[in-house]
Amino acid sequence: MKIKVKKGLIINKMGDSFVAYDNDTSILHELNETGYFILQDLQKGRPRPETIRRLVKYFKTTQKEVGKDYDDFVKLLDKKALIILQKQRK
Amino acid sequence: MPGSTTETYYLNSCGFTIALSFAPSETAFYREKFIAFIREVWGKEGFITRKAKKADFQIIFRSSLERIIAKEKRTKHFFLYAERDFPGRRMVVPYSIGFSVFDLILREVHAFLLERDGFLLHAASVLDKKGILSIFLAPTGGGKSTIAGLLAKRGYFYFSDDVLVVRKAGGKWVFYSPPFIEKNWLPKPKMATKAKIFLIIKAKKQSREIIKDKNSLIKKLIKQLWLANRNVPQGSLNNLMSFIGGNNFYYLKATLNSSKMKEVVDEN
Repeated sequence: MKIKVKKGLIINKMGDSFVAYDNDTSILHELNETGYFILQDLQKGRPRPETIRRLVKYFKTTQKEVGKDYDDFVKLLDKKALIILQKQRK
Repeated sequence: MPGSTTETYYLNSCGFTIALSFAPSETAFYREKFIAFIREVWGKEGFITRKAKKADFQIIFRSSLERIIAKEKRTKHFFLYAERDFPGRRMVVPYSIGFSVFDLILREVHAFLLERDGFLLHAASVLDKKGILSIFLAPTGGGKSTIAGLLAKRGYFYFSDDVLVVRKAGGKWVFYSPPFIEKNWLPKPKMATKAKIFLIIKAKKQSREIIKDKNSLIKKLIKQLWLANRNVPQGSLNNLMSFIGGNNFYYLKATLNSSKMKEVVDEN
């Protein structure tokens, strides 16, 4: 499945604060560092396996843990309509 | 013959150079009036030079009617006042635009140029004799101009009423008085490098309190950005968050007692 981040969504960090601002709805979403990391990677078009590897390295944790975080976060982004999930043709 | 060649004036504003080029026109009346307007408003305070230099943006004035673009939407016709080419850093405008529309165009151009290292902020501000700028933020009707006006009567210099130019240069935040016409005031080139930033709350007793939760400021200050359209550019958000992170902000409980307000604002 291909994930595309909504156009007009801008992400930023300020010290320990991470935010995503939706220009369409003028809503500011607060993120944690993991969410910011994943969203940045999604914006760059990085596939799930690559982001998982990077998360494991950065946070010094396990694939199982970050895999769950990734999937939960993507579900949340989808629920808030901040991403578009595109089914890839076989 | 006067008006038979393009005349260019360079507007030096907030560290930017904006070239204003006046193409020849058969309707010399509008052309001459516009050039006189530019000279009166910006020339007298030293914003304008005629010496050619590299410009960050160009605004070209033309008289051709075909440049006035009409847009139809159901039964209404809209005449757009400018042909914008932001990637090309130029705008073409007809001589027939009003002076207030030109002022609006200047704000748009500044908002665009500031995406790199600053932003336009809806703020009133006053400068004290030590060169420290007190900046007042609030939604429309929230008391910014009122508080600035009270302090202006107490010896402060009125720096901005509606819009403040904020830029980062050499690692420091620099504040410029707006090069735009505000209410009855013509622009004057003023700059400050030290500031106290206040979010106004109308109250019965004046006081101030430092804001510790800077996250809460992001939402508030996004609403205080002057934007050319409703979208916040990435650059502007980057700059705004850097600004929030690098400065102290205070809640200012404000009353109409000017001497007590001065005491609270002047506190170290």
